[in-house]
Amino acid sequence: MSYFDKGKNQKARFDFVIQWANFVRSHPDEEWSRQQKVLIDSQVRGAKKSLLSRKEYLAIKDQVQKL
Amino acid sequence: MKFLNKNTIQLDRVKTELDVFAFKFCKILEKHVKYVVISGYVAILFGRARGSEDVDIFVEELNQTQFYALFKELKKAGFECISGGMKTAFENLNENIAIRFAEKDQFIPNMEIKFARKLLDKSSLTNHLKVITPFGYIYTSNIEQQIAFKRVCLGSDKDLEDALHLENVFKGKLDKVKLNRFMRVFRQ
Repeated sequence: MSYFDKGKNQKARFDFVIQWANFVRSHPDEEWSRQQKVLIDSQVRGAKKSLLSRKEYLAIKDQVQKL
Repeated sequence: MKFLNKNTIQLDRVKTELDVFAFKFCKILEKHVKYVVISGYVAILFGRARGSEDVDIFVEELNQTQFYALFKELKKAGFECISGGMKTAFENLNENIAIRFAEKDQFIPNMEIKFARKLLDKSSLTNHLKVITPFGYIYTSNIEQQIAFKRVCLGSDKDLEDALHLENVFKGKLDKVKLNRFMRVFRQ
């Protein structure tokens, strides 16, 4: 048995995506977007405090593009 | 979420910082060029529970004069091209290299812009979806094309999850013939 079961992990993630999408479909926009906002705003605020320089960030993006 | 017609959706979402950034940028962009938002932000706009550091956009091809006018207005509104100056940015676009704009002195979030040159990219500019929110509207690529592109061409876990999200949110509303056509075309 491997240390990390990628297939099982992916299934669990997919199941959550479906569960959340069903919530989005069945609830008013304002309700789901209020929850989503907490996640997105915290990520944007965190990213703005990034320790990377603009040059380093672009270099990473460039490498990812090449891969 | 309400379909006002085949190509227009009303979305009464609460705005996020990413929305504020993207909508402000697109409002300026629209004055100069046809655009369409693609990829991750489309899934996020329709509720996907994830953030993103960039918003991908296709724009129709611009000549130098048109691009410089856009560039100057973006600068005036507080956006900065983090991929280089005006001349370099235009050269990059012409060489099919994406350019990025962020708010002054920031680099996240940023708008990643490319010229729409392939046939399907160009058609996404006209077969778009208008998404009307309480804080403005934005044009996105149609959902079927997004799902097919993410499933066939991209295929990372993140992209498959985005596609799965859109498929479930738009369950019963997707044009299956159109979706299958895009899947076939992208597979070729």
